[in-house]
Amino acid sequence: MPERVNTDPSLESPVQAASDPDRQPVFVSPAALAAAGDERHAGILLVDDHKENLAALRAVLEPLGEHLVSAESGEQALRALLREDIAVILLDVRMAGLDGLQTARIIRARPRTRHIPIIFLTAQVSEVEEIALAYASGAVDYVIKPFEPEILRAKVSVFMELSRERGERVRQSRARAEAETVARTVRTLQILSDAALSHLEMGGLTAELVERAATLFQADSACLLLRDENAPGLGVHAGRGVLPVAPDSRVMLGEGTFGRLAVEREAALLVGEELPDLAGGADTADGEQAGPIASLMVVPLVTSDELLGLIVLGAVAEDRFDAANLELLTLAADRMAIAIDHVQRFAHGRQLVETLQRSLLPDRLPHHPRLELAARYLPSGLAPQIGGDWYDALELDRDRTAVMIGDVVGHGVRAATTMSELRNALRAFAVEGHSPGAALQQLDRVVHATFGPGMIATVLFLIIDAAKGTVSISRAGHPPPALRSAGGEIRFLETGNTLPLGIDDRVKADEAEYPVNPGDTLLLFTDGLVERRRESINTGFDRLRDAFATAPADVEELCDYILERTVTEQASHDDIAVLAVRVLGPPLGALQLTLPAKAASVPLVRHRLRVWLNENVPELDAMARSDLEVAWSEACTNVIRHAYGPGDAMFQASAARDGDAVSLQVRDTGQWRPPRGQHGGRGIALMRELCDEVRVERRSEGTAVTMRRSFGDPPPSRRGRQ
Amino acid sequence: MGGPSGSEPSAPTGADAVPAAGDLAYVEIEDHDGVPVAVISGEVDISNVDDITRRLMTLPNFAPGLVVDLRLVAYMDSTGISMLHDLAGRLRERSQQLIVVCPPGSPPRRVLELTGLMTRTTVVDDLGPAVQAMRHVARDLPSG
Repeated sequence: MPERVNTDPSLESPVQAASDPDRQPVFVSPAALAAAGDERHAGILLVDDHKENLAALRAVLEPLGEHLVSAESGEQALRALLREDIAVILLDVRMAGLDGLQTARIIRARPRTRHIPIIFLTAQVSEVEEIALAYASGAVDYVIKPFEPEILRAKVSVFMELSRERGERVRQSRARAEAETVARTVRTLQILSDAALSHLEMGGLTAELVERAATLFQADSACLLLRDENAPGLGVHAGRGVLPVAPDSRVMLGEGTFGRLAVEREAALLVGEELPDLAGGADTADGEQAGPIASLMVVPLVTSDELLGLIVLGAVAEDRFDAANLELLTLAADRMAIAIDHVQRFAHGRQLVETLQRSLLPDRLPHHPRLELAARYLPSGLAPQIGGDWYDALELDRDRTAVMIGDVVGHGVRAATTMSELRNALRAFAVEGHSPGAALQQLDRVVHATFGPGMIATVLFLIIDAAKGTVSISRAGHPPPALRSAGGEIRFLETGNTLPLGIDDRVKADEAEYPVNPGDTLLLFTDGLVERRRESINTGFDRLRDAFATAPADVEELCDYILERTVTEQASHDDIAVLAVRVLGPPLGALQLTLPAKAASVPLVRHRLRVWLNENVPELDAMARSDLEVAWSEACTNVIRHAYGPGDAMFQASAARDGDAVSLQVRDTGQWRPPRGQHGGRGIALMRELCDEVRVERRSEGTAVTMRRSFGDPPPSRRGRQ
Repeated sequence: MGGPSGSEPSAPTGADAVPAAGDLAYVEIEDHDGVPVAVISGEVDISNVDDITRRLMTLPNFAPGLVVDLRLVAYMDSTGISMLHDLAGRLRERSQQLIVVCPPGSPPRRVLELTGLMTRTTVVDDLGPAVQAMRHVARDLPSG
C-alpha cells in the first residue's frame, strides 16, 4: 500500500489506523449493545438436584425481587448459563452426575461465565477439605445447610449489589466503547469524504476511496463500479485485490447479481452460494490476497435519487463482514456518492471553463515573415473560473501586424463574454485601418454605449510595421509593453498616462511611436504577471525586467522562461496573459533600395531587380522576369509621377522571395495626387495584369504598393487567354 | 540605304552594365525608299521617354507616316505605350499613319497586348511588311 501524506493533522490516516491496534475500528453490533444495556436483569441461578431444596431456596430469595433461574443438575446449570444472564450462582456441592465442584470448574473455565460469583451450599461445616476444594474451584462464599434465610438473603444481596456495580462498570465501559465506535464511524465517513476534498480529478478520487474503504473494513478486495457517460452499464473505475468483474468488462444494469443489486439499489452481504461467480476477475493486486473471496459486501452509490454505481468489498474470511459492517458501508457509500458526484460535476464544470476560455483566445497567432509571435495564458490558481485576461494578434496587411492584450475586471462568464466582445470590436477597428489611439477611442465609446458604468477594462494596442521598423502604441490603463533591444537593453515603452476603458470616453487615448529593429523583442503582459499581494508593483516590474533580460531569444521559450521566473503559487491569485513578439531581420537575400524620387532612378532600380532575380530566383522564366521588371518599374514610375512635389524626396523599393513567389514593394512617404491626363491609371492596370496580387495602401504617412507574382502558375492575363 | 541591321547600335541590356540615364536607349531615323523608320534600341521608361519622343517628333511633314521599329527594344513599360499612343494621335491629326514593328513574344509586344494598344494601332511582326504597308499608304495619298 502506498504511503500517503495527510497535510491535515486532524485527519486520521488509514495507514495509522491499521498499524495501531488500539485505533483499529471496532464495529459493535446493535444486538451486543442492547445486551450490555440489559445487565440489570441478570438473575440468580439456583442449582440443586433436590427439587424441595430448590423450592426452599426460591422461597427464601423471592423477597429480593430478583430473577430466579433453577437448575436440577450441573449440566442444566451450564446450559442455563449459556442462555441466561446470571449475576450470582448458588451451587449445591453434592449432586448426582456433575457435582458442584466439577460444575464450578467448568463455569470458571468458560470466559463468558468466569466472573460470576458462586456461593456453595454444603451440609457439613466440618468438611473443611471440601470447602477448601470449593474455594479452589472458584467459590467466593459458602452457606451451610440448613441455612438461616436472613443470612442467605444478605449474602446473595451483597453479591447482587456487587454484580450491579460491576454491571454498571461494564455498561459504562461499553458505553465508552460505543461512543468510540460512533466516533470511529464518523471518522470513517470523514476519511472517505475527505478523500474527495483532496482530489480534483476522478481517477485519484476513486483510487483513494477504494484504498480507504478496503483498509477501514479490512477487506481483501475492493472496487468501485461506476456508470460512464459513453458506455452502457457499470465499469470498474478503481479496484484492488481480486476484482468481482474483469476490469475491461461492463456490468449491465438488471443483469447478474451486481446488475440486479444496482437496479434495486439494494445493499447486500453475500456469502457462500450467494456469491456470484468471481472467476472472471483478475488479480490486480499487491499479492496480499490469501485465498479466494468468501464474502462480499455490495452497496449501491446513490445521490439525489440517481444511481452512480456500486462499491464492492470482498473478504477471504467468510465471517469478516456482518450486518453492522454492511450498515456502516451503506452510510459510507452515501458519502462516497456525494464525493464522486461532486468531482464529476466539478470536472464537467472545469472542462466547460477550459473549453470556453480556449474559445475566447485565438487558437493560433498570425504568421508573419518578419515577426515571431508567442503567447501564454495562465488561469487563476484559485478555483477554476474563466478569467478576464485576453490577447489577440492579426495581420493587417503585409507589413503591419496588430497585437493587443487586455484585462476585463472580474471573472466568470460575464467578464469572459465582455472580453470577447471587446476583442472582436478592437479587431474590427484595427482592420478598418484605425491607428491604435483612434481604435482605443472607438472601443471606449463601445464600452460606454454597450456596457454602461461599472465595466472597467484595460487594453494595450500595438501596431508593428515590420517594413518601416516602427511600433505604434496606445494603451488604456494597461501596463506598458517592455522592449528588449538586440543588445539586451530593457525598457518599458511609455505612452501618456491614459485611463482604463469605461471611465471617461471623452479623454483621447494617447499614442506613441517607437522604432523597432531586427532582433528587438516586445513583451506584452497583464498585471497578474507583475502584481503580488503585499508587494510594491515596482518590485514586480523589476522582477520582470530581470527575467526578460536573461530570457532566451525564441519567443516560445521566452514566454515559458518569464512565467517560470515571475509566477509563484502564492502569486497566481489572478489570471495571467503574456505575448511576446520578436522582430526578425529582412528575409535572407531580400533586396532593399532607397533612391531619390527621380526618373533616373527607375532604370537603376530595374537593373538591380534583374541582377537580384538572376541570383535569387534562377528558376524564373524569361517572361516572368520581364513581367516583374515592368511591374516594378511601373510602381516606381507612379511614385515619381504622383507622390511628391518638385523638391528632393526619396522612396524605397524592396524585393523578396516568399516561397514560390516573388514579392515586390515600392513605398513612398508622399501624398499621391489623383492621376492626371488620359494615361492616368495605365500603370496600375498593367501591374494588375502582370502580377497575381497588387495592393495599393494609401495612408497618411505614405503609400505602399505591394505586388506578388507566384511562379509556376501563369499570371491572370495569360490564364484568360488560354 | 540597306537594311537596318547595318546601323544597329549595341543596346546596354547586359545584366552587368549599369546603364546611365543618357545612353539607356538610342533612336535612329532611317529612310526606307521614302518611308521613315524610327529604330529604337535599348530600354524605354520614364527616364528617357521624353528624349525619345522629341526624336520621333522630327519627322518631316511630307512623309505618309512613321514606322516605329521596336525589334531592338529590350524593355518598354506603360510610359512607352503612352508615348506611342500620343504619337499615333498627333500623326492622325495630320493624316499621317503610325505602324509599329514588334515581333510576337518580345517584351514590348507583351506590354502592347496587355495595354490594348494593339487594337488602336497597327502593329506588324516585321519591318518589311511595315515599309510595304506604308508605301501603299503613300501611293493612295494625293501627290503634290
